[in-house]
Amino acid sequence: MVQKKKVLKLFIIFTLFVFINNCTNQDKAPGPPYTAEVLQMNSMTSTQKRSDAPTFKFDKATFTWLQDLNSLNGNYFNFVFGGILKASYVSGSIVSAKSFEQSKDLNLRYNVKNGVVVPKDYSTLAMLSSYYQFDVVANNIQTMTGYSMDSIFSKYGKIRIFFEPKIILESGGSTIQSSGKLNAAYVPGAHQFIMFQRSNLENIPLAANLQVIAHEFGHSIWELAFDNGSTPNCDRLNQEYVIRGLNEGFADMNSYTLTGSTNILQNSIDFGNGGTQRNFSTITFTYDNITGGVADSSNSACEQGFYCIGTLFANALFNAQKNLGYDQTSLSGSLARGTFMTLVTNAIKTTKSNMSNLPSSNFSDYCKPSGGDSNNSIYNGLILGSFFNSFLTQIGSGATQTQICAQLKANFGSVGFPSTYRVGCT
Amino acid sequence: MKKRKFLYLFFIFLHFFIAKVAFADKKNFHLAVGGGASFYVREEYGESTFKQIAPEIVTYGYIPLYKDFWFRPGFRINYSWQQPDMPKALRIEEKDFRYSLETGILYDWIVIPSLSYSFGYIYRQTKFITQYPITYAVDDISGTENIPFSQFQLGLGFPILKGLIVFEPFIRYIIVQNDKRYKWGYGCEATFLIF
Repeated sequence: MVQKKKVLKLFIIFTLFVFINNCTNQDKAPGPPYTAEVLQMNSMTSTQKRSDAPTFKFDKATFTWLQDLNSLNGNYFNFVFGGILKASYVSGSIVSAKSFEQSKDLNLRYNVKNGVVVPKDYSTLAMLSSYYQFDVVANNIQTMTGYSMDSIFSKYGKIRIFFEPKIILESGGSTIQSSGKLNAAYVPGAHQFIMFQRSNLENIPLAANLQVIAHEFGHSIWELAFDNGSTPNCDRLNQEYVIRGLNEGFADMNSYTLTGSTNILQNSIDFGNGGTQRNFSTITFTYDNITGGVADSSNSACEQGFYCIGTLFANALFNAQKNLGYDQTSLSGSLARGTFMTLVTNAIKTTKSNMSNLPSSNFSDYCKPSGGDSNNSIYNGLILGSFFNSFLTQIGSGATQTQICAQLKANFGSVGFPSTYRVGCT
Repeated sequence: MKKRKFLYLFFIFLHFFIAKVAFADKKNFHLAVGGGASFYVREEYGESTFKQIAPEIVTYGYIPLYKDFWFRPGFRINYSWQQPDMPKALRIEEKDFRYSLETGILYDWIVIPSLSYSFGYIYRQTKFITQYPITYAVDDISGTENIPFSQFQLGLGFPILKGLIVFEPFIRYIIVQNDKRYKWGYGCEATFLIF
C-alpha cells in the first residue's frame, strides 16, 4: 500500500514536470515591422562585371510586408510548410499543379535579441531568409516591370509560397514522386511558388537566393504580361518548346534587372557547364550552334534544352540595352535596368494577341509541354519569328526596336528569326 | 538465412518452454546497466523526415511492486551528432547530449512489456557555419542551451538466461520544449543484470 502511494506521488510529480517544462516558451518578437537576421545579397558594385556572381551577407534586415511572423503571413505572401503537391508536369522551373493537400505548422524557432529575430535552426533560417527575398522583390517590382505589388495582388490575390512540399507527378494514370530537390518553381494559373527541398549540393540555398527568387518571380510577371495574369489550360503557345524557353529568358532578365548580375546560378549550384551556359551576358553560341538536337545533348555549346532559347533572347535584350546607352549598373533612373525591363514587359503585354503567321502545330496534346526539341529548328524558328515580329511591333518603331531586332537577328540568324518576320532591322 | 531462422526458433523455444517469468528472483531489488541505439525521426524537410541515430547508455533499478509488476526507475544518456541536408555555404549544426531520469512499470512475464516516462535535459551545442560567397555574417546563433524534454516509452523486453540479459526494442514519443521537430523515436537496447 505504501509503495502504491509512492508510485502515485512520483507520477504526479512527473506529470507536473511535463506541464511546467514542456509548455511553449518562445520569445515574442516586436513587430510588424519585424527585424530578423537573414541571408541577403550584397549589391553589385559599379566596377563589377555584370557576369560576375554577387556575394552575400548574413545580417539583420527589416521586413516591409510581413504582418505575422509565426505564420509568415504578410500583405502579399503567405508561407505554407510541407504538404503534398500533385502536378501534371514540371517544365524547367514551371510546375503545372493540380491540387494541394495537407500542410504543417511552420514551427519557427527563434530567439529575440535586442528586438531582432535570430533563427535557432536551419529550417527557420531558410524560411525567414526566403520570405525576405520575396519582400525585396515586392519592394522593387514596380521599378523593375511597371507593375505595382497592389496591381499584382488585385490580379493574383495573396501569393502562397510552398516550402519543401512533396511533389507527386500524375500523368496518364501513372503517378511518380518527383525528387523535389535543387530547384525553385512557379505555378502559373494558381500563382504560387515552390521552394523545393534543400540539398547538400547547394552552396547558397536556392530558396534564399535573391537571384533565384527574382527569376521565379519573373515567371509570374510573364504570366501577367503574356497571358494577362491567367495562363489558359491546355494552351498551345505556352506548351511550345521555344515559348517555354523565352519565358525562362524573360525570367533571367527579371533577375538581372533586380540584382545587376546575369550570373544567376553559380552561387547556388554547380552543374558542370550549366551555370556558364546560363550566364547570358557572356555567351558566345548562336541559334545555329544549338539546332539539330544539339541543345538537348551533352558536350554542346549549350546543352540546356529550351533554356538555351531563353538565354539567346536574354542576351539579345542585354546587348541592346547596353548599345542603347542604358546604365546597366543601376536599377532605377530614367535610363537604367528597370526602365528597359518595363519597356520589354509592356511590349510583352500585347505580344501574344498580335502573333500571326504561326505554323501548323506539330503536336496535338496542348495539355502538356510539346515533345519538340532543338531538332525542330525550322518549325521552332517560325514560332520564334511570329513572337519576335509581334514583340518588336509592340516595342514601337525607333532606336529601341532597331537595336533589339539587330541583336535578335545576330543571335537567332535566318533560321531562328526568318527575314519575313523582322521588324525594324537595318 | 537458415542459420538466422534457427536462431529465431531457438529464441522462441527459450521463452515458451523454459521461462515462465523473466526474473529468477521476484523479491529483491535488482540493478542492470546496458546500452543501445535510438533513432529520432526529426521532422526536418517540410514533408520528409530526417532519421538521427543516438547511441545511449542506460541504468535500471528493478523494484518489486505487486505480484509480477515491477517498478523500474532509470537513468539514461545519449548523444546525437548527425546533421540533415543543408547547403554548404549556410549551415546550422546541432549536437545534442541528452540526460534523463526515468520511471517505469513493467510486467514480468515470458516477455517484459514496459511503459516508461523520462524527464531530462538536452544540452545542445549549436554552431552557425558560413562560407564564401557569404562574406560577412553576424553570429548570434552559435551557443549552448539546456532544453527540458520528456518522453514516453513503450518497450518489449526479451529476457535471456533468466533475465541476466534483456533485449528491449522500444518506441518513444518525445516532447522537447519549443522544438516540435521531435516527436517519435524508436530503437533497441540490451541491459545486463549486475545483481
